[in-house]
Amino acid sequence: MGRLRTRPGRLASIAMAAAALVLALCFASTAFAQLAIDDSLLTIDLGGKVYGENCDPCHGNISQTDNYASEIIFQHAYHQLIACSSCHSRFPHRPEGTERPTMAGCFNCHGLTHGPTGELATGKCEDCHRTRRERLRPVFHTYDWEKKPHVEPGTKELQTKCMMCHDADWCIDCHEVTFIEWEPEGAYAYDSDGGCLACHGDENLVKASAGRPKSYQVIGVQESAHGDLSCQKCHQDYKYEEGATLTPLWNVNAGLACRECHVEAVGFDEEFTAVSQAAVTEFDKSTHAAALNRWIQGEFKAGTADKGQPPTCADCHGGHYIQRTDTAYAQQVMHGSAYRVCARCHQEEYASYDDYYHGAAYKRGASDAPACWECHGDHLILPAADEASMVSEKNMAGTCGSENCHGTGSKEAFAANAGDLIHRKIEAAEANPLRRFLRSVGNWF
Amino acid sequence: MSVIDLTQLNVWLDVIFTAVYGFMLVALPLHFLGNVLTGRAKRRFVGWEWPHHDGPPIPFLPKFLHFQHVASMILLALSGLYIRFPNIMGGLWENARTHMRWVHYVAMIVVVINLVWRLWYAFGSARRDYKEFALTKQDIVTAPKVILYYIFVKSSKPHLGKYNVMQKGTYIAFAPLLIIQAVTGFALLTQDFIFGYSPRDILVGWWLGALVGSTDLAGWYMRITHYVVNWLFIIFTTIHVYLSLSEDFPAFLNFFGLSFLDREHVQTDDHDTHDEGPELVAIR
Repeated sequence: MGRLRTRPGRLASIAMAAAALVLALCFASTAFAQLAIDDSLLTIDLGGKVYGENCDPCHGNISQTDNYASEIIFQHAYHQLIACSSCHSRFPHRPEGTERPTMAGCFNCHGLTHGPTGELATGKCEDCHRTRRERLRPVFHTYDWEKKPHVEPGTKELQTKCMMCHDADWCIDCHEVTFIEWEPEGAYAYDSDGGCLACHGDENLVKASAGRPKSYQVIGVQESAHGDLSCQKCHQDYKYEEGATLTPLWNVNAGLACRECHVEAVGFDEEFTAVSQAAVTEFDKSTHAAALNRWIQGEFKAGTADKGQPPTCADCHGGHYIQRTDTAYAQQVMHGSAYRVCARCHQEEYASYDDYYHGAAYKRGASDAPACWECHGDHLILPAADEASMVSEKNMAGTCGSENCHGTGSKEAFAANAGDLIHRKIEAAEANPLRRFLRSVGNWF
Repeated sequence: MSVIDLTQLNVWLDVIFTAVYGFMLVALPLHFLGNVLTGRAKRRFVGWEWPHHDGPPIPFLPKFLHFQHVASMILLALSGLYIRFPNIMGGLWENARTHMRWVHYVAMIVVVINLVWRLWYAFGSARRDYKEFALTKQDIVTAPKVILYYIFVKSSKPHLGKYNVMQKGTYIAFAPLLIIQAVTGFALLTQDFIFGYSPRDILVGWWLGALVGSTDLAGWYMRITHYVVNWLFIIFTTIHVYLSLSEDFPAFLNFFGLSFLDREHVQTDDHDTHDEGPELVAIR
């Protein structure tokens, strides 16, 4: 009887153990499948025409592909997450031999001052080259280089080829000695053009920032007004040179980089040059610029009388997706952007902008209702207490009476009376005793 | 310089008129409840007993113009309120201010044409009916009785003609109010299309503007007047619609060309006294 009783129990135990094992295996495989790295998500692809599946028959395990350029500190194994096409822009096995990627191709990712590629291999020659720097001279660099016609490459390639190896001193030292004046059109800096998008074009580029996931993907550049500029034009911190930036704060530097183009106005027409230069000059006099300077110097205290982070150009005009301002659509977009531009810092003021014909209409999309800057000014924004402010007591009548608004019908009397309504209607309504009484009756019901 | 705080004035007007209108929207159903409790509603809507009307039937044109006027007034009220309170429809009508202005302009033109026609009809046409609106001594004397009837104290009211004293008073007020509304509305236009001057310049700029210190400030007073009169129209029209529905539904149907919905009604008489009323000009 005892055997009869125990046998089914033992069988059941074995069956349960087996079932548990199967279940554990199922869970483990499922979990493993979820944990497995999806190469397609992590692979960086610069968009060439060499497809991995064509390479796989021979280079299935890329780490076993030799480095044929022994003078370069390079391993294919380090680049397992990089699509073949990112470096090999075309099929590399040519009749004349294997085509190696160009150094400019490497510079798409390396030489950065941030990120893993920048840390592993910066723009310094010795990070990648075993050969001594002095011996890395390209064949077209002859010893009598200075006598060769190098002006043209110096003009055209200063920011592409030259600055991969050289820095400004190479040019300046020689020119100072020879007394030949030379002023490059652009900065002495290597410009990787769109290379940043190798990583920042990836929608999966997400990292933890301040305890929250944050996307570092960059979108909208191609469609923006700056679609034809390289990233380093604005992100000067990521130029391949040190000490090129105005402040240690990258976002401020990016915001302030605008002035480099908009003051020099290279390639701008006469009208846009005047507009650009005036904008920069006015901004420098504004309360925003003053706050920005105090912020850079560590004297700005957000949350007190100071609002949030003081704005740079990009905070108002947009960063990567910055719009042109010379089309009707762009002006419409700009006109409707007061919430994004101003209210992020000036929330109370934006909330109080709710009178009948200005604020409330503006917030409902009325194209003829003024945006904040149409009264307060755009670049030259000053406190109302400042006499030069567009909304100072002295200038109010003129501001209300601008050509596209009230015109000559506006005078001091009008501005003093009707102007008060613009930001004070909500406050007056909230304080109205009859309204409060009716509300309390309504609440009672 | 103006001594009036425009912000406070505007807010007070908003609060007062919305409160009055809200009160009215509560009061009218309560009034109809009074009709139910006193049996008037049963007599009218079940027994289909409605007041009879003296005089010839109303021709098509006045009916059509009345319909057109009602439609225009509704459009004017809706578009006008939207222009002043862009949030009135929540997110339903975004960026509609320009469209609403055009609706307002068109409806305003229709109403002005209607007004001119109605004044001509009242005073210049063959059917001139201005006498029907004339307030007589009898009207004034019997006014308390009419009011007592409407507040259910009395069960009948004196009959002095086509319209009772309250109707006459309201309709008489409509004409000057419409003129005020047209003038103040026109004074809000700042486009200088009249020989380089705007309607605002011409109507108020030169005198009121000089008085208060600015043409646009004068425009603000026009705007406030326009807003007040707008509320008067909304309130009067709402009461007018309610009374036409509850007191004389067949006439309401008749005015909108819906008489086919009016089953043969028994004409009874709530009037306790009768007056011959003004002599009507024969139909030609």
